[in-house]
Amino acid sequence: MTVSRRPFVKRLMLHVALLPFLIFALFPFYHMTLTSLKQDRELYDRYAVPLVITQGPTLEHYAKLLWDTEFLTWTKNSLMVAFLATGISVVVGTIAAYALARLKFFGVASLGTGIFVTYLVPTSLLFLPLAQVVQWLGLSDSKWALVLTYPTFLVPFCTWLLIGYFRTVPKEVEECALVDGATRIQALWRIVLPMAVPGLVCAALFAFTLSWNEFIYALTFTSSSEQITASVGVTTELIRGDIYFWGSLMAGAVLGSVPIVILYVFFLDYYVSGLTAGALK
Amino acid sequence: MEPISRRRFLTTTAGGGLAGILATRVPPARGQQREISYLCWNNFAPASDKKLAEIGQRFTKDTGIKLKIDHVSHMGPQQQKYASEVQTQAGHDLVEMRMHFPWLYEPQLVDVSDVVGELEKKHGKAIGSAYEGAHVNGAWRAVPQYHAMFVATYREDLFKKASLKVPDTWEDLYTVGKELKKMGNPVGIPISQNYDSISTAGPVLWSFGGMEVDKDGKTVRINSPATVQTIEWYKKMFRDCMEPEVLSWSDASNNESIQQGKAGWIHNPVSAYIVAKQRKLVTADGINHHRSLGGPHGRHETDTPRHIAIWKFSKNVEPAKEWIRYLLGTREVYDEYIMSGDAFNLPVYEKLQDHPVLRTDPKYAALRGEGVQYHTYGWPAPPSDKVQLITNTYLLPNMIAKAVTGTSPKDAIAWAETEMKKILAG
Repeated sequence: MTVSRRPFVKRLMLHVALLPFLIFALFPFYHMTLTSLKQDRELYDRYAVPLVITQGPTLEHYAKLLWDTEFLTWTKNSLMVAFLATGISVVVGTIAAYALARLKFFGVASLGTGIFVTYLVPTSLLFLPLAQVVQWLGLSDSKWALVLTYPTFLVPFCTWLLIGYFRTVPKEVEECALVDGATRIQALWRIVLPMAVPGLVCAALFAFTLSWNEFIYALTFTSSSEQITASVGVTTELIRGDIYFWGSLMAGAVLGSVPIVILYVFFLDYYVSGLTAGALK
Repeated sequence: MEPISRRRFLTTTAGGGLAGILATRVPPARGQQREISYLCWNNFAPASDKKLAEIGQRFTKDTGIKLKIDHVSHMGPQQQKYASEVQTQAGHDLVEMRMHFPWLYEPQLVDVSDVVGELEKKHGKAIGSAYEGAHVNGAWRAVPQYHAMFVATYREDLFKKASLKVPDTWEDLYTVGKELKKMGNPVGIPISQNYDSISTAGPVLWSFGGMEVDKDGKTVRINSPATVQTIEWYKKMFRDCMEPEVLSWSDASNNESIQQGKAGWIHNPVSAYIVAKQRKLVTADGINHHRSLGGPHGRHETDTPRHIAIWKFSKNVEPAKEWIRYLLGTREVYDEYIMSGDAFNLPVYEKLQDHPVLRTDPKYAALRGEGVQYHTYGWPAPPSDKVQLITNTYLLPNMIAKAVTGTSPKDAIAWAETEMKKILAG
């Protein structure tokens, strides 16, 4: 009896210990959901309890966001840009990372470092020269400009992340395939990539999140309401000088986090193993 | 002269035409269509943006010029947008400029003195703050559009309940502020890195006779007895009339404080009241405005005029001017536009100062601003790029924040003086 209760107590203690972290992680979501459901009167009532709804919930902020603004168009744009930029970046990043992790050629080490350094250059420095490129290509005020420019920071990131992951895949397995007559591409496609799925998922998730949240390029390269992404549209429409439409802003934050939450829920196991595998050899 | 055969004529003209189209990358049909684009900041009043779009549609119908209006958010994002358009020499034809921005982008802006001249003939001279902001080195680089000035906003109901006298000077505010704080309704003046902080610090400094930089735009004048007086006033206000939260406030915080029923007095445009009214907040009825406060050296106030400019790289300068004339040159259209902003947007020409929008609510009476001198940031220095850098690096509120949190006024002023000199020397 005592033996069977011990693990339960241990588990309970573990969960209790995790509780503060859980609250810390979930509190922002709780607060923004709550704010999005409060009436303006309650939001501006200094005596209202901030952590509960006391004057009745309302969906008016969601209605304003969805029907009075172009939020659905902006979200559609965000999804399109994020999926395409992620796809391109993961493909290019995979090939680059494989080459840097496996092949031996002159300057391979410094090239790897160079790619990492490229990732560190802030977008606030790059947006001006990139604006020139976008203009030259005739992509000004087009979401395709974002599909083109997001890989400039996503490819280095994916490459850097995947280099570490590919190094954890045993070389011997791949060499066996090469000995059996497979080409480099076949070895990559049939042997390495299936073993690297957690790393690829991890890179894709990060790339998607970075694209989804990106602001400066989206602001600079697009202007029309039908071309901008959600991150730009929501702030443009709902922050007007010293007037913040808090309810609708929080509704936008809640709805904007849904795609990311869904992706992470589906791929959580891959994501965790992808992150940790890259850390060990 | 050798006669040209039909075949040769067709080959030559078709080839030349095609080459021209390829070189310009503009199809002929599109080249004939007149189309302009206009980048403006989103308006404090959403209804004003809708009205602008509506007027734009009528403009297209009346003139055949297609108008595309895009909006950008406030304070910050528009700078990246301007920078990228200037860098690429492409983008919108017309661009909204606020405050003293035309000084910053002068080499990139078309001289619009002709349009302003026409408007001034119809509506009277542009008001002083608009002139300060858009008339750059002898030419108008942007057309004054409307303005929104700061005003004293207070809880009239609380003042009446406690029999407090409406202040007339900054010293009076200290007297009533002490009572307000005791009542649990402190004064709400931000002392942090935002434009509202500068918008209050400027008028206080000017009212005590101080300035950051002299009229010549080169001599730093912050180290003066007037600045010491300003700092001493802020110190006692911070200690006896306000709460420490003002050190972390954003532009929205003072609005929200009075709307929530906390602050008893703030310094802000009428947006705090209008939003309270629109959102049917319980404080709306109690909020009112009074005339801007004065000091030993007069009654000064911050004004933030808005202008419309045309980029020099625009290939549609004339149609762009036509749009400005359509929006601002016709009294009916201009009135319609101003009215849509519910006193957020006030007319910027002298003959229109007694505008019907001020009679839509008795609480807008203080916006007439009798006896108040309105200025843009950095006055009396001309708003050169360096003077604007002093404003945009928040040196004035940072100096005050240092002083109210323990640095001696002498050291705080010396710090600001050094920073300002560095900027002017750079």
